[in-house]
Amino acid sequence: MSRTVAITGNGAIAEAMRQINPDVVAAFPITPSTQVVEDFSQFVADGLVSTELVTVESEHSAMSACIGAAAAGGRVMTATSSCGMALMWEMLYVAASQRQPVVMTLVNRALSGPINIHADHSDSMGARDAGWLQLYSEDNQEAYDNLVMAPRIAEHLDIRLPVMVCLDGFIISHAVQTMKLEDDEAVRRFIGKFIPVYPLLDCAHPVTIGALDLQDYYIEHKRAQHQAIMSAKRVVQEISDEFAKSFGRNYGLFEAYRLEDAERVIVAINSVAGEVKEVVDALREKGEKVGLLKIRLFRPFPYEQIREALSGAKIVTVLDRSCSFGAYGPLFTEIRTALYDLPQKPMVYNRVYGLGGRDMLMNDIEAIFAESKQYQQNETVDKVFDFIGVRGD
Amino acid sequence: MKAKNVLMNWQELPIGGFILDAGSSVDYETGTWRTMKPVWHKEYCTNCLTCWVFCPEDAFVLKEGRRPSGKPRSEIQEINLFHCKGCGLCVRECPVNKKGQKTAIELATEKI
Amino acid sequence: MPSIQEMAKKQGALAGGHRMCAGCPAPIFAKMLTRVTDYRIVVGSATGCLEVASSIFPFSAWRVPWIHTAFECAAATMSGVESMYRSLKKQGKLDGKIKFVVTGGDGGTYDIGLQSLSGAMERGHDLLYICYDNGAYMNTGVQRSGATPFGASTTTSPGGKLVPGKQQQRKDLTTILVAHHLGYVAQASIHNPIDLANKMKKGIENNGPSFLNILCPCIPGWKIAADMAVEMARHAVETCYWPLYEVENGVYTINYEPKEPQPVADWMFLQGRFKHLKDPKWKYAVEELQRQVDEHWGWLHRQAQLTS
Repeated sequence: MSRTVAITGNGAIAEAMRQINPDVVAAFPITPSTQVVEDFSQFVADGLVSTELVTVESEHSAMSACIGAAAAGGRVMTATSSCGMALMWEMLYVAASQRQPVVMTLVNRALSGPINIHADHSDSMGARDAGWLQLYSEDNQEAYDNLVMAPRIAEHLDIRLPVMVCLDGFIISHAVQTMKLEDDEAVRRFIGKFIPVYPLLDCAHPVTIGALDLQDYYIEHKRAQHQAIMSAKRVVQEISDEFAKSFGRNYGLFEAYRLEDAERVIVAINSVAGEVKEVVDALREKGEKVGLLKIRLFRPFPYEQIREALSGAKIVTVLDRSCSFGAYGPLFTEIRTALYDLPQKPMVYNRVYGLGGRDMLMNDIEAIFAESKQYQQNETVDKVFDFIGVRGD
Repeated sequence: MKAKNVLMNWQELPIGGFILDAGSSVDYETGTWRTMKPVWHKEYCTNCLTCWVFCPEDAFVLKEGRRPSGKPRSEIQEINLFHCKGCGLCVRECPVNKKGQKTAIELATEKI
Repeated sequence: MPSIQEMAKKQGALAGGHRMCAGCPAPIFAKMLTRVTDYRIVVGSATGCLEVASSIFPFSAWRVPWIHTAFECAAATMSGVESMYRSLKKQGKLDGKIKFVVTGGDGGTYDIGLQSLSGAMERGHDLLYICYDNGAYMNTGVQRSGATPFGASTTTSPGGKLVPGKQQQRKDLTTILVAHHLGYVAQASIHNPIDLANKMKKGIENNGPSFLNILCPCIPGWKIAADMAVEMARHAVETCYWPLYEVENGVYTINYEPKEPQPVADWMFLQGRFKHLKDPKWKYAVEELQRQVDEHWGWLHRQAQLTS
């Protein structure tokens, strides 16, 4: 039976992992994802899962062990944040290029330095080229749902790529929200059996994994990898539709919130979307045509679908919770690229907010919509790029 | 044994850069590396298999044979010149050679 | 103890056609992996000579399942493989027994790979880690490692006018591994295949983590002739530079006592990497390496006595 629970984001993730019951989890603790592995360790100790838990000595070893375990031929999961992911950065590329369907929960946290344990997206954005699928989650329900879908997506024979499910550190990971926890059996049925592809442990058919490519083969291997990740857009929607049938919650590649006739739109990722929805509702009451496009699938990036969704907008504010130093924000760059081919392009500009967990308040969001209204009236964007909420600016 | 000279297109590649054909290096010719080649004098060979143990290229091909007593043993059949790189380990380590009286295996100049 | 004839009956783990240098002795031990045991094995390798030269796409010299991921994490990678094996066996999804072997050069083992090796050994995974110690980061062109002997000239510790090669004593990694309370730790050399095969078999068949450190000379790195690797390893053992010994659950056994230990200088000057030390002004370096060898040899005997 599904039930409503009051649980933290990390708790929800741990529950999903318990239901998925992966064959191996190899993980190393780092704030704010630590509790995921702690909760899961208790499940192991209590015999609630049959997972082999490998408490490795670093995140680099965590991802290495995950790759080894997946290559051996089974379902593998892990969790990390921030510098932990940065430490395993080299191995993210290996996991993706070796096409191992590892599922990782990434509790978004700022990268050092200065060292900061709070939410921003510099960790996952920093790894956006690694070849992993990236799914972002507004709240603990979405995080749980995304994680339940993740093994199906990762293991799909048209994809066979690792998937990271992202949620904001502390804001979602540690905050208690109510959500629907689905029935163990129903989740197990949805996840299904793991199908190995050329497993190492099949000694009768020895396979060589991790070969060296010279100049004559590398680009062909990468072309093949690219083909696989591009198929993910279709597969993510297919799995999401199946999820909707099983559990009643609909997910697309992104969420279009009151977008159909919106003139002024905010594009955002993760928890801030919740606040934006509140402000959108309040402004809509006053007759303002505003809306939100909330990103869910960031890699592969659904350019065509987002272009379609924003084609009617007049002005788009892209919120980035990470800084790509020396350039515009990572999300902004993608959105502007998506909009470039429109015969009638909306104005689009970038605001960087919330680095290192700096709160985004309702006032701040109202101010953003006020500013975009100003820009819309003046028919010009004064500042294509700016920070929000910085003392001294 | 021929080398895989025809390069595969991206659609033909196994997933993830995997090599599914275990031991496929046997198709790759390293014999062209040689400047000296081993010459085996079968009549002096005691089939101790020291050369076989040390050969980095696994180039000593074995066959089923018999000891003088009649007991079965593995024996040297020939040297696989497709892979032999001419390092000379077999010549230096051969116990018959080391005794100093006979030469069971020696290096000769490779004609190019 | 596996005999040569017994080993000859089985197919080697490493096929010919790999691109290791002519005369490289690393394949001597790699071939043997399937010849010393009846268990099926899965092998993993750290980035390095053996890994790179055996797996140039689309050619693979490995006749067993084999995985390489990166340089510093061979032990961590195999921890994952072995954990999946245990998980699937526990769940009844896999039959039969498989053993796990990891290979790494001294680069991937003493230095960049030390953390993941230590972690894997401490966690108790059932695997054998084999280090083939050639005394430098050979695959990238002979840079010094924590295993490079005192006085050796490498590209990052060259013998020059002011500084005569590496000025630091090499690490005693085998002893560091003994400190992990392993069931089986050993040092072997590629010149003695029977001793090597025996130790490899014991390491593979031990239940729990095992470590085997193999002296593996390098033709271009030591600057020796292509047919000299085995002789150089033999000579190294005769000088006591590389003792052959085992430590089983803390008990030391020295496997070979040279009747007349050779001066380490004799061995050094057969190699190009030490030739700069022939200059009498660098006498101290030769004496220092001899002192280190003598000290270690004495210490090893005391350990053997203490733990017998």
